[in-house]
Amino acid sequence: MILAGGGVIKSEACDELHSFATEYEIPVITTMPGLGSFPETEDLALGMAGMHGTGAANMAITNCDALVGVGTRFDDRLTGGVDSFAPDADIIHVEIDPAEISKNIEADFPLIGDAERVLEQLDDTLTRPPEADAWREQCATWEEEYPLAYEMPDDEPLKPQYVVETFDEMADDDAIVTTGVGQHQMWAAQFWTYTHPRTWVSSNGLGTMGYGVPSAIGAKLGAPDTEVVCFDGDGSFLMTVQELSVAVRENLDITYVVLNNEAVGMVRQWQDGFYEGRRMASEYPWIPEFDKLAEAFGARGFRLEDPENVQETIEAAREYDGPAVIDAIIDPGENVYPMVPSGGDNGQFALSEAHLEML
Amino acid sequence: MTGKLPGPAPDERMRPQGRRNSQGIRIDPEVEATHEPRLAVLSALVKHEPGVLSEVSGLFSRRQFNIESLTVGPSKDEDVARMTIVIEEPEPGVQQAKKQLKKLISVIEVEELEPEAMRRELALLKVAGEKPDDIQSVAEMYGGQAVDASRDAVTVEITGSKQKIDAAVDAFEQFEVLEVVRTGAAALERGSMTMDPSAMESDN
Repeated sequence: MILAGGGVIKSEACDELHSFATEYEIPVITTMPGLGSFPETEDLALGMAGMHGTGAANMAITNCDALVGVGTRFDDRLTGGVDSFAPDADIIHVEIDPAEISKNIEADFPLIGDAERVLEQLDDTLTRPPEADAWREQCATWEEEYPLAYEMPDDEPLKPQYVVETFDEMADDDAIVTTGVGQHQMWAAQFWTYTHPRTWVSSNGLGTMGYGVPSAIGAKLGAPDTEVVCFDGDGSFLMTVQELSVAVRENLDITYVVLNNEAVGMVRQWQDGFYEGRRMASEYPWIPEFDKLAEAFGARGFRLEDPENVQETIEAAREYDGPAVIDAIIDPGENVYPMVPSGGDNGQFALSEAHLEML
Repeated sequence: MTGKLPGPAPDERMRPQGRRNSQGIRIDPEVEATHEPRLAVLSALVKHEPGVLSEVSGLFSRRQFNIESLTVGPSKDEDVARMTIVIEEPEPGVQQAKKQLKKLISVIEVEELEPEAMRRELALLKVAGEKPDDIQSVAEMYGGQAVDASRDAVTVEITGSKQKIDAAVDAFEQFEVLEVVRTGAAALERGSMTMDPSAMESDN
């Protein structure tokens, strides 16, 4: 297994990673900051591992016998409980900072250096792919067994996953996605297909809510010719909404999608899952209407409620030359799965709330 | 409401037999191999400027290293201070503490001192002064001396290794000990080896 972290992107090692993984046919998992380091359209890509990672990635990382971690610090959102993290694997840790070696997970083979150069050197040293046909088949089986799926019954409100997925199909391949923190961040990570480095702009494990609005402005200023989409939650959006005035002042062509469930949804999900549903300060149905708020700032505002209007609303927002805000009123009952509880076993991810209770 | 994602339930999945301990090291679950904590003396040369002590102590508290003592004072070079930090950690923790300290910009060099390094601590004990002669003779047994005496109390100074001071504090318990203050360890490597900050800086 290769585990590609954000360091792969920082050291511009994505091309080298791609040629290394494909030449030796090694399946690739990414961390959240590593999204985009390896195209998720590749057969070898298993997606993101960790707390809300894909089933295939978490099964593979738990059961592999050799793990090459490149530019990753083995953060707790990735590893879950250390006791059950890749317990049978020899860890080869490629990392530029010696203090990260064996900090969280013991490195059997520490390789300190720039990711691109170390991958080149590994490539020069290896002579043939490891014999791992059975392993790759097993990974493919897991991918079939654990698809990221969601249901859309007619009598239920708009699903956030559908909004992200539809936008992904419509957007440019190299579009940049920025996010705040919470459920919307996880859906944006799970249901958007990342194929280019630096297209995922998020505070990741640092967990800074409100990061989405201003980072989209930064992304657009840094890459004026690239499409920029910000997925935000109603909670995160309200933390830095005033920055819309900057986007209006500079007339930046950014599409903001607020996945609005009238709650700080991730907090509510934890209160439901781990605190017997004792909801406290996590729901607030008295938030403003974000489409009107956007208009008040001088941006364009759209309200999206009906699943049938998703495509045309996104199209209209994308066509508008300037900042546009889609207030997407989503199903408040929707939660993020798969989920590995904090400190849990990655291989024992829950696929539903009932599974959480079993664990 | 939320549908269930497809796929086998947690208890229907394959599961590896192995385990890691809390330090992320693979272990045989039959013989739980955890490292025992040990005392380590770290000697660090740091820039002599405001805020360094809080940077270092902040690092230790954030990463929850167990500090036994921490002393800081001027070194030979007026721009450089020497910190002596005694921590009690399992081997991986000791290594991690060294590496994290080295990452701080204000830390010039860090070294772990050998167990046989010279370690000295100073203690002042204030003892109720009803039997000043007895107190003086106990102090002498530990190479110490009375440094202050009033009608009611005698203050005694003892210098030495941690063990010696522990023993001395015990010995004074036969009198009424009113107050104790200990400095924590100051330590230097034996022999002619030094940590030369100018040489270290040119390394970087």
